Amino acid sequence: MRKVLFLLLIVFLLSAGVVFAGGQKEKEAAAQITEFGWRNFEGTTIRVLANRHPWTNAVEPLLAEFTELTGIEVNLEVYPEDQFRSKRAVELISGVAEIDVTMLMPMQGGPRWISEEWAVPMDQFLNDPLLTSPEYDREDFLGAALDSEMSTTYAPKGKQYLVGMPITVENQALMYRKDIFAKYNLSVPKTVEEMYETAKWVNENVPDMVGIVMRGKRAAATSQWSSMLYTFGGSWLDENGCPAVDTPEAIAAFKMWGKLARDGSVGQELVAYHWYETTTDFSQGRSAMHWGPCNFNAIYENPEKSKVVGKVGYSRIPEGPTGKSIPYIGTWGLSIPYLSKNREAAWYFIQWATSKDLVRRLMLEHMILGGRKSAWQDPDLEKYLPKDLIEGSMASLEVAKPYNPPVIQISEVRDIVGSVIVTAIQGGDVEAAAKEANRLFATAIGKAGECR
Amino acid sequence: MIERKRETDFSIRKFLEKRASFVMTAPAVAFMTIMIIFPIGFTLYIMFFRWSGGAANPPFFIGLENFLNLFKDPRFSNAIMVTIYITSVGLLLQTVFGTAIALLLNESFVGRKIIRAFLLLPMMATWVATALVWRWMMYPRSGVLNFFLEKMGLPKLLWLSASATAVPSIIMIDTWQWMPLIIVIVLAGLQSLPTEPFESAKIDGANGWQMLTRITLPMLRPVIVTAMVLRTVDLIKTFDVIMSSSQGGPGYSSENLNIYIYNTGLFYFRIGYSGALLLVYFLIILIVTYIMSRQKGEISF
Amino acid sequence: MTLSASKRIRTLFIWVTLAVIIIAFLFPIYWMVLSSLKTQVDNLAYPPSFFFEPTLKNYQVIFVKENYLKYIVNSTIVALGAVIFSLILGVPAAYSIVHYKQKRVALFLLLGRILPGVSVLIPWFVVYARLKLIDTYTGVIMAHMIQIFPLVVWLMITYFKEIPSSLHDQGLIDGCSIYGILQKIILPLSTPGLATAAVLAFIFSWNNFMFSLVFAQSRTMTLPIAAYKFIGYGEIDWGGITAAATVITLPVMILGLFIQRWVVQGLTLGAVKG
Repeated sequence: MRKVLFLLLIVFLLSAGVVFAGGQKEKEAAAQITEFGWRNFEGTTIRVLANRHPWTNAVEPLLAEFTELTGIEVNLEVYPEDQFRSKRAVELISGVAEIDVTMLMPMQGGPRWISEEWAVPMDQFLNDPLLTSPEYDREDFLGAALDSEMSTTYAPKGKQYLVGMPITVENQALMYRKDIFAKYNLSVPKTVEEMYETAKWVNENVPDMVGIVMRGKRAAATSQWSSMLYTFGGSWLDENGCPAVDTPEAIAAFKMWGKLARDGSVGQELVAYHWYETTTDFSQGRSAMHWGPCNFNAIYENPEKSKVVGKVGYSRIPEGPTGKSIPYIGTWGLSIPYLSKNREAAWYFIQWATSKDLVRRLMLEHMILGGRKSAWQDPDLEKYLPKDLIEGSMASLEVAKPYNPPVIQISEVRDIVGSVIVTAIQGGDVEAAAKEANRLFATAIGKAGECR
Repeated sequence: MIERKRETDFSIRKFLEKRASFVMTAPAVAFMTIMIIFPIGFTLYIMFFRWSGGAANPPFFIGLENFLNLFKDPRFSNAIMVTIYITSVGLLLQTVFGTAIALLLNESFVGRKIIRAFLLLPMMATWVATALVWRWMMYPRSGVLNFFLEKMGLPKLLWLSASATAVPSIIMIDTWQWMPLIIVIVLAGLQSLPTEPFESAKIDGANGWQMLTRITLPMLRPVIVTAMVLRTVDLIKTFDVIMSSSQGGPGYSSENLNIYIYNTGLFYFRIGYSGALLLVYFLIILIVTYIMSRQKGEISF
Repeated sequence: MTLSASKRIRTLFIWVTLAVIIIAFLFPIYWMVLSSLKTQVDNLAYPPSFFFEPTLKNYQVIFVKENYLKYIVNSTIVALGAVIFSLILGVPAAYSIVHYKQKRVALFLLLGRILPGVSVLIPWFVVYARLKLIDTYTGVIMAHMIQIFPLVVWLMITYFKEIPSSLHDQGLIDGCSIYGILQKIILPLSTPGLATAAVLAFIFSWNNFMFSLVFAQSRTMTLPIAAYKFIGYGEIDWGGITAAATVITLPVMILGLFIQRWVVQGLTLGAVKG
């Protein structure tokens, strides 16, 4: 027994030594740079962590171009979204990983990144003429896209900074089957009520087709539902910063979601619908409408995967009782974590990936909606993207709101609100669920005392 | 010269001999210690703090607050309920059906060995992938399972898409994956049973059912209990199946404690709270395993 | 009814029941392999297609575009490493536990099985990073061993309990040290048990997801993670995933079919007497 204890002690001491040893490596003196040049950092290798997204699919084959341009080797690791998030979380928390560039959704992970100071502010690179190409043109970015990357809501005024640079823009639209609407003489709904009636009609009268599909899966559904909330005149938080998901407007939005699910869509099973299910249903011709992000156009217009190529119409989401139509905007961006030891080389990658040329190419060749005005305004765009998509998006982007509340505990809040959506779809007691959710929401953001 | 050499040889060997129990187990114990000392140490430390994972907001001491919150947390009690649900029903189904199939397979017939080999397949296939295939087969509108149900004139089921049927669906997937283990253990146990009791019972005029209940099952008891203990721990820890198929949904209806801990730590960044949950989790498994292995009368897992 | 007639009915009943069970059991695997031969369009079709034009495109993608050979090599190295080291550390320990009745050591070694995987991730990532073990075979093997090692020890304990102590005493009389006994007498007798432990351990390491996800990166990534790469934003490439799953399952299946005789023998011997 004593021997065992002795052994344990030795092991413990050794281990403690390992963990606490390893001090800071001396940072090598930076090479003197006198002017901007793409090859200033050649020879470095950077590690990029990415999510399996159409953007990643499009950029992966182009990495060789980047290496040719800069001499920087790229080590790209791609994982599906859930696994990507958890792996990134473990590495960030550990404090000792080495990630140079990562994809980040500033409205989802952003607040926490800002609160924990995990992101290297982009401004230090943008403002440095030695590190940024003169052609980069920061003004060319869409205002809404840059705003989403700004730590506006989450950092005190005067201390705001850019968390990352936007690579794709996701705005919401109502997608519908032009051919079905034509065949049955349906008009594109202008209000949410009309949309409900249309969906219900299709459900009852068109064989093998439901009226509309949306997301219903707990947290995933909240982004799509947020625009329903806005269109009904609600908001995530009230003027005091207290949760407001139990207001009459919010409850009306929940109930409409539930009604749409049960009468105009697939019914209760919508609670398991994430992007995969909604996209598949619509692209396989099983649904007449899709309330969702319009950047699945890449899938809908792909003849290898879709049966509805050329039949999809894009419209602004209908107006709510307030008379307004307020879609949400979401963006993906590239950020540099504090863990990076090759920040300049990482910035070069981001610069290249968000450059005018590349964003335009991705948009035209791969239908990836980018964050630059020049790409959206390109005269060739109409050859590749449907006109109504372009016009609808530009109009939406003017008034779109972020799809998440400006709080740090976003994942938790999304789950809390998501479960009310699930209750609504299942036909349960929405008022009680919303009240309970509001309470949990307040507790989650640490305002249990001051708010309901 | 030679004498001294033999003496040293002798004393080293004697040392190794005398301390054999130490020498043979020391590397294993050392390895195990190294592997678990950090996780356990870290968990026991962080569960008294509130920490969201970053260095900018270092761990903040809150004493037992995490544990107090635990008791007020409806999602925690839901997770416990789901864990109990999965474990108890899963164990029952897997044991009963596993034993029954093993009894069936015990009858000698052609092709028994091949069938036995095939039955191991679900256990060997990569679980995350097969769970994903099951999820696909279980889609209410486009899945192949409902296609068959419809063809047979039965009502379509919602499988993983409804709160009430989510856990049963998961139990079904888990049973499919792991029942082979029980079948194999019990079957081999059956085949090692002595034949005399059966022969003398036959002479005494016992029928099949009596032999089954009075002789076979009691003799199989240690085997069955071993299999049960093995599966119980794994059922409590069910993770891959749920993560690949329902991710704990719809709502939280299929979220067991393991998944809840994972969510709390890596998605909500409530590291301290997840530490407290881990402690409770660990204790639950310890207690259950202890109770179960008492059934067999000795320590085994 | 004559005896032979009732016996025939009985056999028929057994056959039918078993057939139903086998079909139900194997259907998902059949479906998985079938889907790997379909194009995405066929895979998304409803009603599901059982007759279609098969394609090997998915496998082509796996081996050519995604370079699965590398992942197969990685998985093999990791699994073999984890199994071998678990055996090296575990077999002597198991024997010592049985012979010297070291119950407390047994309990300690089996602790690793109870530990939920989640609790290990962050502490171990920190240690690994400092020791530069991230994305190394050593690191991933050690991580897998946390789960495999207790299993090996448990199996070998149950198996060693089987061997009558008379054999051990005989060895002592013959003048062997305990190491000699282990090596010359016990091990040869334990081949079925060792094979069992090895195969089961191999399966667990081969199919491990969580630890490979966190502790491996591009150099040492294993098969299950590679299979998941077919899940993308807005679409799941079912052909790709099922093809990957089939490729992952095949080696283990073949291994299992060969050794299944011993697996059955080994799993049970301890249980029956124990």
